[in-house]
Amino acid sequence: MKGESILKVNNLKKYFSMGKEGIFSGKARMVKAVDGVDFSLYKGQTFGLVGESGCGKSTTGRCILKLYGITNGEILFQGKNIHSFEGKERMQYRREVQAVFQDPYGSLNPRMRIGEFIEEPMLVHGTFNSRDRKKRVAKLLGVVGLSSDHASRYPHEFSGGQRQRICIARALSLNPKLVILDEPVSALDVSIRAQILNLLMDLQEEFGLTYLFISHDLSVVEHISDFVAVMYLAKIVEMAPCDMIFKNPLHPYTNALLSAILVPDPELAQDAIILEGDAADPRGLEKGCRFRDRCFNATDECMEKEPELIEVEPNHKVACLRVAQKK
Amino acid sequence: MSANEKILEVRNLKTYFFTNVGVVKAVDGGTFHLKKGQALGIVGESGSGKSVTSLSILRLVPKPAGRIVEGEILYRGEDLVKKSQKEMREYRGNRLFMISQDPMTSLNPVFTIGNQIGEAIRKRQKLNGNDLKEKIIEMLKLVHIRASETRVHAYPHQFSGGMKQRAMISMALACQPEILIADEPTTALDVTIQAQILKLMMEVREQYQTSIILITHDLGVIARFCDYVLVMYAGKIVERADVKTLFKGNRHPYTRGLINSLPHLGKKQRRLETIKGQPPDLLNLTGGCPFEPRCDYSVERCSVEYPPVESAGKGHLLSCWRWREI
Repeated sequence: MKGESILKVNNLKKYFSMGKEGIFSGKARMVKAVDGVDFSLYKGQTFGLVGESGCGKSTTGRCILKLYGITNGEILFQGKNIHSFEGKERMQYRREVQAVFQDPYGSLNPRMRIGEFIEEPMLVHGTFNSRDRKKRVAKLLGVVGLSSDHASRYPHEFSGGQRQRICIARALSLNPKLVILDEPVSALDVSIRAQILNLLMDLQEEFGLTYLFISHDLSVVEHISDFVAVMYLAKIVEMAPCDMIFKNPLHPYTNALLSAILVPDPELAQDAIILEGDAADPRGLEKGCRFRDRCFNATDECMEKEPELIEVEPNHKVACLRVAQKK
Repeated sequence: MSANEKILEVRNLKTYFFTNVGVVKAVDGGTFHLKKGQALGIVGESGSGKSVTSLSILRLVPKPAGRIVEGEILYRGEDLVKKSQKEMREYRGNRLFMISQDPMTSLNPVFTIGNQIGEAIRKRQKLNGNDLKEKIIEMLKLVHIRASETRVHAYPHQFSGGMKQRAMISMALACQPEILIADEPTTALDVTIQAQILKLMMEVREQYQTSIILITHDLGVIARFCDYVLVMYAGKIVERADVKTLFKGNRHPYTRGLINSLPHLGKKQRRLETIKGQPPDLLNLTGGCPFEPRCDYSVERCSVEYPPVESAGKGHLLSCWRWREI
């Protein structure tokens, strides 16, 4: 099922500085937003990155988009390190990797007509001549389910779902290979969410796109993804093909997350695993498992030793000492 | 006090907003009641009028644009619509308590959490000094806030989203209201925290027989938490039923579309069913059914005349011309 790898992330680390520890201390305080993450994206597939707020999933996406520099590790796009790109190569990378963000209201310039907005990337990259650009705008609007006479309108004339369609049209304008979808349906109403998810899947098929789908909503991730990674406090705790992770979740955090999903069926009695407390502060973690304070399975060993992400079943990686012992 | 006593009855509530560009009928003829100890869910998409319904009950509709133009809100037989704002202050907090989506908007950032919970406690009990402090700590423990002795002195910004929501619930516990209105209480929270807060609200409901109005767009929350559900669309209650009927025996095309458009865990389907089109513009509603342009079952009559409320079984009411065929 793997196919051709398009992007590879090796031991990605991104630390944010929080200022100095004290006035005279030379040591800088760091927030480890992403702390050693490895995964690969395969052509034409969707990779789902799930986790709660603050776990580093969006930071990972932004590192791939080169919106952030990285602290350590490397990101390889088609075998080449993206941070070594200069000049032409860098522009090429920017063309091939596009993004759609959560808030379609914040992503659109209120003073720009929709047509100009979709045309802008083509203008910047000089990929089409003026007549072709206009044609392409009309075509893209059609592709995302809007009509070509919407091009002369302003963003405020559109609803949330339509705005997200516009953002998708812009992302597609340069024929990208990889699209980073950062919570693309979280701000939308339920009836609209289904429309956008269907659209994304249709476009993937039509243009052979690869998606990195970042979301906190497991039921959406299950629907759209081929491969899923669960993040907790800056690290991946479990990674497996979609069916496997949902049928046979091994990490206690994944189990808790899955059981916390409320299934819209009143007759289904659910025994939710209710986790204690909030996610720990990423600043205070020196040793041991990140999840130990909230884990229902934690032992003394978990306090001391940090689990590695290891393959316990074919294709199924888990970072948990106790799961690893059982296998 | 019987278990089936209606403590809140809303009759033909109409809350309109008078804006520069026209009248927005945010709630247009809402009729429902709430029984003692019942958990009533109101579900709908943004702009369907679910929040305005709750604000109307508390008489907190934003002025000057918003106004309750018609209808009655009977709390134990007394019409809240006729009360002055001064009289309403006696009801808010004491008998009706609201938890909002963003607890930061309900907590005062310049006072400590303890101070604010203390204020709520003192509404009911005359306590001072150490007695009050002990009571505050007890309240925080009730909502499972760890290290509550030190957290009493914390300010709202030092609390996480889930903890702030718990602090709000502890205030609700201190006031012991008869009706707790929760407007999207878990929407801003992570799923594991959502599970904690919902469990806590269930405990409150069982222990104090509090009636709860839960407003949400999340059908999963509704299925887990509520007994009876109202589905709202463009200011109208289009279907209401007990929770089982709503999920299994719904008859309104909008309710059905909403439930079918959810991705189901464990059931991998290639495409999701959708409701076509966009939510309506409340400024340009015609006299007909507001769902008509998006409905697969619509006939000519739907665009001219709004369907009457009909009964499709015990406690199952809906407004649709063609429900019998659906």
